[in-house]
Amino acid sequence: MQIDCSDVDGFQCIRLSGRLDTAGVGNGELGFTAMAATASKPVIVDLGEVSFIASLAVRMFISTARAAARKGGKLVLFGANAAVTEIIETMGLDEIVAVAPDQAGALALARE
Amino acid sequence: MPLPGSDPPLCRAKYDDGSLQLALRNAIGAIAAAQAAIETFGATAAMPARLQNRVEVVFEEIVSNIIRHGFDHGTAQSIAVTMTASPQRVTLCFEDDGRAFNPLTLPPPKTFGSLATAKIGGLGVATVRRLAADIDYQRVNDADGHACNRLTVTLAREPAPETCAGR
Repeated sequence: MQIDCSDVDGFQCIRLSGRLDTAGVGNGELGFTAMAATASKPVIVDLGEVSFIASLAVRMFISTARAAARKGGKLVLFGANAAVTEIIETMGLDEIVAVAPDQAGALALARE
Repeated sequence: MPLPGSDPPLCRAKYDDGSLQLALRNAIGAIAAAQAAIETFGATAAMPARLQNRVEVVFEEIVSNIIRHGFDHGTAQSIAVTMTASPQRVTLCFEDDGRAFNPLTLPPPKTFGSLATAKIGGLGVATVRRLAADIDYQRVNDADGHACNRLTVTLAREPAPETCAGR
């Protein structure tokens, strides 16, 4: 899992890429959490270059979103491909963490 | 071929009459080591991208669960995985010599409810149950007479039917 961070319309945008499997999450979770869980305003997370997602990644998103919420922040995921979206929906992550199809949708949810 | 005195590979893959057979060591790295063979199997079986992804998710969740919870750390325990594909379904059979564990005895997966109260344990097994068209568990003896877990997960070529969503 690779992590890249930039500013998009005043929001921190974290771009993840590669496989979010056991090994990938193990390598990248600390860095992702440090970036996303400490922000007091919404953070958008670009999954456009993520090729695979497993339960450890969903667990990482839930715990990070929960930590961000405690600080008044919010996590918004966007841009996942069809296969990754199917797993996100199968696991029910979209029931408790904001998910948008694209960056424009993510920014709209971040502004809510 | 491993050098004399070196560790055996994390994963050995063998294709036999349209099926893929994997022998995995007790190490999380075995999951990544098997990835290329699984991708080749999916391509050979002409799996659509979503089905290929479901196969990889089931493989990842079951194998990581066995290694983290069914095995003792650093032992010579192993997992044998056989994947077969037909025009209607893909079947993954996992056999391991770890602690007895029947995932079908767990209560049906629940929805998260809210972010604040969401329980984040057991997601892997719940996901496999939701993706599968059928799951079967047996406690059997292997060829050497040792008790082992045999978990067979069947994935439909079409999206998983609703009939299994509540299991």
